[in-house]
Amino acid sequence: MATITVFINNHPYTCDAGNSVAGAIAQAHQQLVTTRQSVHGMPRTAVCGMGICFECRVTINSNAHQLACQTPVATGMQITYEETGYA
Amino acid sequence: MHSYDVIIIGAGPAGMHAAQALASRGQQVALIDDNPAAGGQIWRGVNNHATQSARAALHSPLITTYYQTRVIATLAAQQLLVETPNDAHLLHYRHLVIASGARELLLPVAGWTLPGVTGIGGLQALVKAGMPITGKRVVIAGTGPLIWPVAAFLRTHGAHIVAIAEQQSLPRLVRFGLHLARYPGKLWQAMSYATQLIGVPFWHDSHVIAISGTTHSTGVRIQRGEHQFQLACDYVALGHHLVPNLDIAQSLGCATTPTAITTTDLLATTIPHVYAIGEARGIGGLDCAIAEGHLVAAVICQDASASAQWHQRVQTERRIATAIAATFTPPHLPPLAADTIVCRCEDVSHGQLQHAPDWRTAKLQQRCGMGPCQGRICGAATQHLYGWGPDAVRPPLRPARVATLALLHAISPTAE
Repeated sequence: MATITVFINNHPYTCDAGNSVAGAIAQAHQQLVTTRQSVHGMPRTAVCGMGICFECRVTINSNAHQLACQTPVATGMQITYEETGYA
Repeated sequence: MHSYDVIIIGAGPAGMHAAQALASRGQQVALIDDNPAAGGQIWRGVNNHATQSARAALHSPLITTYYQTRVIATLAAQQLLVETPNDAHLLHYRHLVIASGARELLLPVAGWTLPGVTGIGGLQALVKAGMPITGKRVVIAGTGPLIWPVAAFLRTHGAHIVAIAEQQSLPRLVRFGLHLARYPGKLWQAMSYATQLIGVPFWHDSHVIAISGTTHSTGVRIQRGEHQFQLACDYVALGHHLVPNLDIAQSLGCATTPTAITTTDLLATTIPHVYAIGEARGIGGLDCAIAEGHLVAAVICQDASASAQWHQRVQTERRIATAIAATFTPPHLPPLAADTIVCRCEDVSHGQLQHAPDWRTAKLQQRCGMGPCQGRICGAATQHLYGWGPDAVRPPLRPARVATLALLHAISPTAE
């Protein structure tokens, strides 16, 4: 499969071109990782995988609250989320 | 403003087949979906003869596709306000077909907010989107026919399925199996999943009590009959069958039940010019969705002989749906601890909600269901936990950009 480069919290990362942003973040860490803190500071990340739960929201190209599970990766895409110290 | 003979909301198998069948009868069709591609949840990343031909049929000059597009509001005079990644549009329809599909019913349990706990279909969707699963230990728990294909899929992709915990009783599952035996194709499918899952522990009458971990799920406590035990795992896939997506239909004023948009045998909702097909008409599965896609096109185009033929087919498929619904009914849940989160968006706990009289009060006083998912997760959950009915559906149906909402002002300067 063709690969492309995206930036996850400013680190370049090469992933499969067919990935979603959620898939790319998981691939970069080899597992699902915390991408959001809840209103009470609990670690959260993708749950439903299909645009329902909104738990996977991250910032993409400076646009906040984008759904990582429903956004395909694109070359040079800047994906950011708060790194909380949670794994 | 763009105008179409028929707008179809949802590009899953039902919507795709409706679009193709309508275009083949000369109708101008718009097909809208919030995902980046057609196929719905069931055909995500699936590449076989059926999906290839369904996708190819969408390349008609009469079909306009709107992907990554959300319906934000249903408006008077047969119009929809929709939002694309960079833009917003007002779309006008003569007929509207709701093929909004279904989502998983996710029910709260201690620890279910930890990263690593996903839906069952959710985990499959994430793996198809690039999430690595090889060598990961997965526990699949809950209820529903989705457990089997997903478990087989994950195992084929290298996951170690630690166990499958199904809440239903053995006699109930056996009854369902006997019913399936009447449909050779479905039985064959079930056997093939079973073959792929040889050696995986399967427990009936079992449910998750708690998921442990600090920043990621690391284990799960299971109640199996009278016994409790702890399993180590990397992922917990939890799901309790499906619930239809009803919000667009409710926003239009269509009558609904908790499990379906109310329709006639010929798919008409209670609102003129509005039809419902597929899972939104009640969970019925792939073949039923496809048949209803064809039927709605025949009905809209007043093709009596095709209507009669597809109606017959739909009736057969709906009988299987009835058996599925009878088997995988909403499960009995163990009592939740007071600190278990029910509304994930606003971190509202069971303790804060258990004495609330209704959904509306919980929304107003605790902000339950007021976060970005707009109650899509906790709404169905509280219906099961507390028996609350849904509140009126109001626009915007999804979080929307201000520029999108400003389009409403353009058409009606006096609108709120």
